[in-house]
Amino acid sequence: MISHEQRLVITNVFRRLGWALAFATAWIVGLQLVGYLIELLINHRLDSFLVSLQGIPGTLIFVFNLVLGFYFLISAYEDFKWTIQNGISRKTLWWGRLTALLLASCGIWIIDELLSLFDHPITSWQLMGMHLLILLTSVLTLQMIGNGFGLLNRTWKWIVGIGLPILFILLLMLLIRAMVGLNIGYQYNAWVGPNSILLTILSSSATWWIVWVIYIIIVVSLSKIFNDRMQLRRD
Amino acid sequence: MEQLKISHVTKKFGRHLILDDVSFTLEPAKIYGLLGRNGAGKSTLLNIISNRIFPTSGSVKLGDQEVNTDQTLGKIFLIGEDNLYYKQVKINQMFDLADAAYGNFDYKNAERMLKRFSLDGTHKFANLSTGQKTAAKVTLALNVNADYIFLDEPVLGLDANHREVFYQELIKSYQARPRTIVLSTHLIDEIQQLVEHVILIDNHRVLEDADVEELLSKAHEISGPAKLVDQYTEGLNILSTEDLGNIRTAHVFDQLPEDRVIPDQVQIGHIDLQHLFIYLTNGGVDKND
Repeated sequence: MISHEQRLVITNVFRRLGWALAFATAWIVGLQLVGYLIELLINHRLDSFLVSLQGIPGTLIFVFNLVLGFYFLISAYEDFKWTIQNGISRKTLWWGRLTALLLASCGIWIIDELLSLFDHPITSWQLMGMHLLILLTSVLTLQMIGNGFGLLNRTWKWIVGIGLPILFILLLMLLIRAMVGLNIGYQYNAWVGPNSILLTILSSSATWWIVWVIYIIIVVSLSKIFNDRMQLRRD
Repeated sequence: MEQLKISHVTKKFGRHLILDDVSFTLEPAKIYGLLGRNGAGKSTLLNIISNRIFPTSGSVKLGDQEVNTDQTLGKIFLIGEDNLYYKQVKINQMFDLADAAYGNFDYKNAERMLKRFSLDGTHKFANLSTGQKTAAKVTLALNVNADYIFLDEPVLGLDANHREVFYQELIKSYQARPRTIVLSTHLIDEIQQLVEHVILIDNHRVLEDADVEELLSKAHEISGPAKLVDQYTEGLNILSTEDLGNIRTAHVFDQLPEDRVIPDQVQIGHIDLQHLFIYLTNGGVDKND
């Protein structure tokens, strides 16, 4: 059951996200159109212009996904401020924003899939579902990062903003090196050798679903912890 | 309406102590003055009460519930120095948000108040001057449907005319709907007639938590020949003394002993709230030192 306050948070997220989408779309598609028109004026090739127009749905998909992710990356502290000013608790802010995130992601996903029909025929349900999961995972991750940044002042934002990606890249490199070091392949001897258990685990799709679920649990939990610790900053 | 209890609140920013074991209770339907010198921690305390920042230790409870739920926060409204709204927000949108969150916002009265402050609801808040921002904020605060209204620096930047408008509207609002209003301001002489109770913070702690009447009944200015003044004030709580030639003026914060005879050459007068605040927060240092 959605409370009155949660509905207020959801409505506000949608209103601001709607404006951001409209604004970004108008600018990016507008600029793209101007480019195509200039090209038309120079080349006088209407067929080329009409073909170019077919690229707009692809641009829209890109813009919508970008704005959705960016919104949840930068809006955590702003949303906290207006809600706490209006007597809305952190718990309500959390549920309101999460509900809005899920609804907005589903909405954008449906629009993405419809727009992609301009480019290619309808894809499999499996692939479409995978698109939704990728979108949700990305936006939830960005929301977690945004909530974490909401706790930091300007100085720490710079430190963490530069330090964390470097740390992430280093960890990724170490992981890749470790994987390469294992030297596992799909040859017969790998399935019977010392790495056989690891290979069996990695080759199972269930493993990746479990990893995904664990990742989502970690991301959502961290996001909630950051949200619950948010307070008014002095910077 | 329930009491708002602030219990043993301590706040540190890093190693810097802002509030030290602050405790007091706010009663329903009363006008309070929250006084303290610059940097005393008044704004920090108000931010803690409204759950905007967390205390290092201690608690804030409305009745027996912690102030961190929609139910409790929905009864508290703080308007402070910071603008917590979106940058592009218009005054009317601030009213709409308050109406959506707290319900029953008094639009009619707010519109009337805006006219008195020469403001238009369609104006963007960010484009207003300091005084106009304050006027918009107090208009919002006095028309919001909350049981506890906290006003941090409610006359910041307001000219004398608009300060008068604010004081009139505050009384009108309180009469129309009695609720607890806490004023945190440095213009003590202007609010003396408005506030019923004072909480004075000094050196990170609550120095006084008493009704204005009770406080002022203990505040005396005793002047006369130095020797006689010293004799009369012996054993009393003297906040400060001033000497002009042989004439001494002692500022006493104590009940005067009824059995002590007042010498003919000694005069006893009262101190107003502003001067009492100055003497109390000067740490009892003599002006002549």
